Amino acid sequence: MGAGANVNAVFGVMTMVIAVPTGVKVFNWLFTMYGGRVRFTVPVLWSIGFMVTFVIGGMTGVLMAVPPADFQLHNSLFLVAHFHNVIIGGVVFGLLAGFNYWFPKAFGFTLDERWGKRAFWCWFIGFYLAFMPLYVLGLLGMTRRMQHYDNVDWQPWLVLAAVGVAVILAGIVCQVVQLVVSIRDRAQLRDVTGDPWNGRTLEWSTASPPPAWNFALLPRVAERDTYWVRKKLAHAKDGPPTPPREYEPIEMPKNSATGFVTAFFAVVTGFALIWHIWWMAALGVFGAFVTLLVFAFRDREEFEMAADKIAQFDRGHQAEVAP
Amino acid sequence: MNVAVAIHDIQRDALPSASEAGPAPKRIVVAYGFWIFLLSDIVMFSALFAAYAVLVRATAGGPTGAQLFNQVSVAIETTCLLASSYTCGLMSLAVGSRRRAATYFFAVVTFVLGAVFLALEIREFAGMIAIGATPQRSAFLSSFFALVGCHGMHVAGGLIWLAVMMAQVALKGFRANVERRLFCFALFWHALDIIWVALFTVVYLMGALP
Amino acid sequence: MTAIRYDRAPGEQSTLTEEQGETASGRALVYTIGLALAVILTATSFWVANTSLLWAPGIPLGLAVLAIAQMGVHLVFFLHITTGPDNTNNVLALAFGVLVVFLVVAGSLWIMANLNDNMMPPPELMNLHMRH
Repeated sequence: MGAGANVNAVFGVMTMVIAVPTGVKVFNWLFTMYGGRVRFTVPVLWSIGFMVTFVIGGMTGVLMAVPPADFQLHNSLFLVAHFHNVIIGGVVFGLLAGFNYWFPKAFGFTLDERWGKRAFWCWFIGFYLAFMPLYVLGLLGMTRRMQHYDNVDWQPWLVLAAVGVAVILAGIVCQVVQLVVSIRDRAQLRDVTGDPWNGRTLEWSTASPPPAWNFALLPRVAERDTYWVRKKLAHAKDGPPTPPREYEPIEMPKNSATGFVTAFFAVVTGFALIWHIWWMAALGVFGAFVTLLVFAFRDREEFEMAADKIAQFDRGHQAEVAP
Repeated sequence: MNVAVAIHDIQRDALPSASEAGPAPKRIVVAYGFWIFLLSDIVMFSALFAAYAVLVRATAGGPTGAQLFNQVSVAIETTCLLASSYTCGLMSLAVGSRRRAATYFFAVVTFVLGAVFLALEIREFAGMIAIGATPQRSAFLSSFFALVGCHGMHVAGGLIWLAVMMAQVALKGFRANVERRLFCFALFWHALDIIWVALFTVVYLMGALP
Repeated sequence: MTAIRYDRAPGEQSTLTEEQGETASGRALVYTIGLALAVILTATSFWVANTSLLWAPGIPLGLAVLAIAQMGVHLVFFLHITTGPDNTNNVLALAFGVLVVFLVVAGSLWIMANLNDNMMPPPELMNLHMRH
């Protein structure tokens, strides 16, 4: 906007260059499924939905990287469709995949699969219904942030988009219902072994939720997928016997409310600076400073977790894993 | 012993290859993290520099740099900050060899030199505002006050930090975490002087040219 | 000698101990040399800016060179940044910081100059004054 051809050319090239490492990443993510037998659980559905949607969104981004095309499409609904395509496909779908995947580890019970699948399909179908028409609208000349419009050609596409919004709303409702149902049925959904997905990585070797010290003994990692290899060896009848576990005390950092209190004072300071309430701003800064001083002058920063407490917890977990 | 990110001491026996040596000592991890923060702070200053460079001619009929800047005052400020960087280095050496009296002495000298710098700068700002050369007068002055003022705020913050550190040395002695914090302070203080080199060159020396 | 440590913290002087020949005055000497060099460069900068020592159009470049040199003096003598293998991480982080600074400053100047060139000429030049 207002820049000459040289600047536009540089920005066009830089935008296209984004696609190169992104393409590498997409292949990385695809190849994580290589050699596996894919089970279409809720996290996997979200992950595949992410890869497909994010790639489409990225491609329309490269379309707009061409300066003459961008001259037409900048600040149109084509742009709006593109960035929602990448942030809903990328951020939201990825976030929900992670949420479903690691929820059992964090809270000790899995999420309901049925409602999870319903939520995914509503979100996925709803997203395409809501945002694909926006690409068309952008090409038909509709700009973003319009208070009212009077072009009848746009109306059918906007109605379709509205239907998509309703389907997404159903998806959000399904997410809430999933959480409610899972909490209600948490006794049946309890993650006893700490490994609900038969995972490959080391976090699944801890209890769900993990103890404050995470690992009772530092895992010895000599190859990729150490936990997977360890599980294979445990199943093999004539493998080497596992040595007895020797527990040591673990040094843990002490908890502190400093972050929370400082954040409170930061909010007060920010609010006061916006409205030029100088006394409140000074109070906020002073409060944050005093909190920092209290934290800095602590005498003990760590405490020691006793070996027998660790042993007690870990033996309990080992009993659950290999009954 | 289970470890998080860093360890207290390194083992003195022969270490295997770097990839098997385990986490680095806390002293290195903390200093490196602070170094990365300092670099991000310098990036923020570079944005203010860029804004200043773009707007240096936008004086809106008001006073220009050549009319406002006092070379003698800037020379004294530069000398003070450079000397304080030197005494900060000597303070670091005193901390390393656990000499308390020397630590306090060089810390006080560093503090005084930094305070003189700040006093001269505040006097300069007050003088400019008194004759109507306020940040609201022109884009040039807005960007000038933002850039030089931000550096001055960093110096003020550093002085407060230095005072708190001297209290910590008095109350806790040369504990490991106190030493790490003094180390980070030294990094901060040297970085501020580096920024001042760019500042006095671009703003005051180039600004005084016809 | 260097088998014990793989990294040096940024700002840390050499890891040599008393037995290995490093003395207290030796450590302080580094700072003194750095101060002397910095003073010389600063004085030269002020001299260049305020006299006709350099050809006038070349003064900004001369000042920039002196400033960069002095920043280098600070980094080497006060912050002990070296090119040794135990300092690689610090140098890499610094190099990346310098790259970002260069992009921000040079990029901003270039783009703003480009936009400025594309601005409409003032009304006097375009005969746009209203007729009364």
